[in-house]
Amino acid sequence: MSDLDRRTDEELMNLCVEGSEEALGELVKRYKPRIVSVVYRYINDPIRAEEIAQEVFVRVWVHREKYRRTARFSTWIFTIALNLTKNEIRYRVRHSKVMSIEGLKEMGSNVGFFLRDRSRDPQEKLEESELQEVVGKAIASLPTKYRDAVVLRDIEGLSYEEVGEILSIPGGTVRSRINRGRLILKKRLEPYVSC
Amino acid sequence: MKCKAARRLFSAAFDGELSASEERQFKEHLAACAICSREFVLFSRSVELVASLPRPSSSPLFEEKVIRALGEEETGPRRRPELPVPLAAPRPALAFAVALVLVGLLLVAPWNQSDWESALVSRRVERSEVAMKELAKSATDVADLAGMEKRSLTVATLDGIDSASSERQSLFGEELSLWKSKARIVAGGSTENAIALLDEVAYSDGAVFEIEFVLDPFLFEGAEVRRLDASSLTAEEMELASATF
Repeated sequence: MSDLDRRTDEELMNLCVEGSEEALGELVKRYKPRIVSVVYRYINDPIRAEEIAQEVFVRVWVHREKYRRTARFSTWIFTIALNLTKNEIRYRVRHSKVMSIEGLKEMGSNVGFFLRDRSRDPQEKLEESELQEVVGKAIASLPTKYRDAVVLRDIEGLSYEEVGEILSIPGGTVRSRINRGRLILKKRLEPYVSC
Repeated sequence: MKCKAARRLFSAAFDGELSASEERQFKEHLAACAICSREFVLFSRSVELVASLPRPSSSPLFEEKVIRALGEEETGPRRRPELPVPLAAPRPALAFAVALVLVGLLLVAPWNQSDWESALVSRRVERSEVAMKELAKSATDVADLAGMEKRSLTVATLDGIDSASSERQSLFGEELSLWKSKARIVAGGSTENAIALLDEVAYSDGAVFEIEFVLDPFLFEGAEVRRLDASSLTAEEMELASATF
């Protein structure tokens, strides 16, 4: 189909339900960067983040008939992504028995892996990548309930309503978690921002 | 509007989600309060900094791998790929060490500092009905801990802590309290004593608690205690939750 790029996500998903792999391809094109990004902010492992993101699209296809046509596709796919990511965390913990602080630091050290901008001069590039590493680590170290809300809101730009739908929490809780998470980040990032 | 109420509205103000009356009160407060005004600027800049993080790039073979995985899905079940990097080997004492490190982080923070600090301590201990009963019957067991000053302890029952409930307490002066069902255990004196007391309580009753200490005059001061052992979290997940805080 040539008009796939003009279709809404939900229309594409309906085509997937009818068996259109081309429609899935268009959804992959639209959501790949966002799904890789949200998974990466959780596990700080760029290779595994991409594998999980691929698995997310496989699940979308396999479970396409379970998709409720009245639901927003974005909330459905982010819910799948968060569930798979949390499964990954459980899997890692189960296979490592206890996650060491050193292991977590090692995971955190990958934060800056993708964040370099090759168009800048070396010094500026270094400073920017260091700052991005600091921000990435600050996000990764948030307590889970605040990280869920902040990543979906500030990294993915979802509305409060969408965040609530994905996390299955009421609007008031969404607001308080976003505010609390941001206040924690503000405290940790204060040395890097100025008035 | 007071500073604490204003700071609860920071996110909604940043996102343009305030009602007309909230917005008016919020702006009036910022105009009159230089500290909150500066805090809101810093808050806004830190949110912008987080939001400005570039997305990670993905492999040009991404779509191809999805298609291949779909094909494998149709021809049979796939095996889970191995982790690319082996994680740390099991260490029997690590659970205790992680908790110690986190408690240590708390100890370096002044108890009454006006700034924000919080920490999370999670414990996994063997369930001990005997220890629970002993704690319930005697306040002395807690008070006798070295260096502790027991301010109050009233025990009705320790059986009523709901896994879904959490209770928050306020800090008064240099006290830190912990509610266990209807028992309020208050630790006074030094920070070390207060933390050690709550730590001991968490150990002695044989349950698994998550204790979050929050010292923030603008948000909430005290400890939020959640019982986790009755939930679906495994002990290993608890350890991860501790270490990632």
